[in-house]
Amino acid sequence: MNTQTSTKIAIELEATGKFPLLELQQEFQDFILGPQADPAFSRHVGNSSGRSDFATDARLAIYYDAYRLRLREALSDAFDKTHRYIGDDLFHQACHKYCQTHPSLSRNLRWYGAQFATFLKTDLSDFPIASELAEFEWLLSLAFDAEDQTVLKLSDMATVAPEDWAHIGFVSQASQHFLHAHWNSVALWLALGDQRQQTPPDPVYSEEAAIWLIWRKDLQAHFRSISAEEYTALTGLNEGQSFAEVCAIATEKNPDSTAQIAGWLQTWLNEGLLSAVR
Amino acid sequence: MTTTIASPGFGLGLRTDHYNEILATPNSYSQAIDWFEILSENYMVPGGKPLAMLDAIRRDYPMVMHGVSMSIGSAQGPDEAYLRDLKKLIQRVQPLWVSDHLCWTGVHGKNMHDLLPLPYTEETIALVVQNIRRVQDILERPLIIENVSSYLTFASDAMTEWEFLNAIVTETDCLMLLDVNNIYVSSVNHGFDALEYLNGIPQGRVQQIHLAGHHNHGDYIVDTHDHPVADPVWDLYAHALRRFGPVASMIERDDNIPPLTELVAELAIARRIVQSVKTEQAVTKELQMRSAGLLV
Repeated sequence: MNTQTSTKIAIELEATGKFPLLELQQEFQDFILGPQADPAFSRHVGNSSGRSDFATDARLAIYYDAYRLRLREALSDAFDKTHRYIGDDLFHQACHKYCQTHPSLSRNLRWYGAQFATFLKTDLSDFPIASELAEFEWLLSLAFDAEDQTVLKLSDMATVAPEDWAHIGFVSQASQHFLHAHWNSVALWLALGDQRQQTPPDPVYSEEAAIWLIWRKDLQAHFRSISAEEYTALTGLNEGQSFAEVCAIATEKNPDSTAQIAGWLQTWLNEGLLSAVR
Repeated sequence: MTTTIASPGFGLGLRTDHYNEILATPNSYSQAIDWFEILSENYMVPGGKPLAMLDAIRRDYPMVMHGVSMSIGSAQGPDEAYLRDLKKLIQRVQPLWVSDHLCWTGVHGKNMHDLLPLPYTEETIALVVQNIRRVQDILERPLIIENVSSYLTFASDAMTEWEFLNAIVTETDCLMLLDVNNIYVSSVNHGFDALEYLNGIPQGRVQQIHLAGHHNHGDYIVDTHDHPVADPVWDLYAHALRRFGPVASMIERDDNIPPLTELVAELAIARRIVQSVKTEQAVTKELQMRSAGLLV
């Protein structure tokens, strides 16, 4: 086929608005995504003349099964401790349902698990710590490959003029995330990663959520628990409050908080949590 | 006409399991591995360790980029945002070349994360040609296309896979990444002659060769990349070298990943085969000259 023929075919297809290839691809995709492998699609399958012993349904099953296996592997990679904790049976069942209800909308498998923790909240409602553990794993992964930014250091503060402190704010690292944990999911995560620990801790519920700060430093994801006051200060900065406003809010709650606020700022700078002065 | 870039030699797929070893002992492997192929999507992330490792290894090794989700055969064409991200990565890596598969991966915004086969028809050729031209315009560089392994053919097929491939390569003037394992896998699954396939590919168009392992189920073969390269694939590789010359070759291992030294040893087999084909061709040439009375 020469260039003219190819262009002519493309123009004709545009003109008629009929795209047999698109129809075929849509049908093949529906077959793969379907709740059961629908034999109706087999009418499109050709006769591989030399191999009549390799049946059409077996050929189609390879594509049908590979889709589910591949997505399950991606979920297992992203949520390996959740997988280990709830075991193969429950995890595979959950993956199967997630795959049926959440077709992948991203070109990159990296993002396929974005709704998995939320999904587990209803799918494994009898096992609520599983959803929280999955959420923690997902936030760690988001911190792991978040955008690279400059890191503000304690020494950079020397360049801020005294009169500027009244209005400056700070930009947090893109890797910063928070987990509000009603369960001991972080302790569970640590135990599941510890080869010496044979039995993971039992789930423990707290009415008041613990707040975990997650971020990346030196290419590794880090996390630590923070107080409600430090959380208010950090989220205030993220929402655009100036450092002076953050100080005013903290002082209103606790008039003796000066040393505490100075300590937070020093810790944030040492931990590489801030990227710029704003 | 697009011509191939001189072969950089023998490469391996870059895998996270090997990062530390490659970076800790750069001199140990620089003699055995000439270049790395990266899976583009693994590095199409905002930042962090994947990109830091990529930059560090890129300082010591040439790289080529290989994608799995361009969907060049989609009737709706590749996604614009994907191509923009890919171009950003190309600018960062400065690869020797960029490849993806002659297949489709999804339509209407959904992704099957699989290299799905295309019907071999004139209509498909027309659409793929249009898509390749658009990609090459956006990326501002040639695209190298790879043959995939397949488990089914379509009732609407009007030609063989190699005729289909040939038509696209000729019409777009693009180059090929020839996956010898995929040809072998498909030849068993569809009952065609792998040598006929190889002989149907035009010379001077193959920029790279992929070698990989597969899983033989008896009735059929699945392209799993989790085993060493099988003997029939090495045989086919030797045939490919006879036809296409000493093309840049690499081993793709995606699962059941062994220590780097094992892959280096497997790459040494490829080196030996190239050497033996060269010797065989030199001897044949000399014999021909002797028989023609040009040498005594």
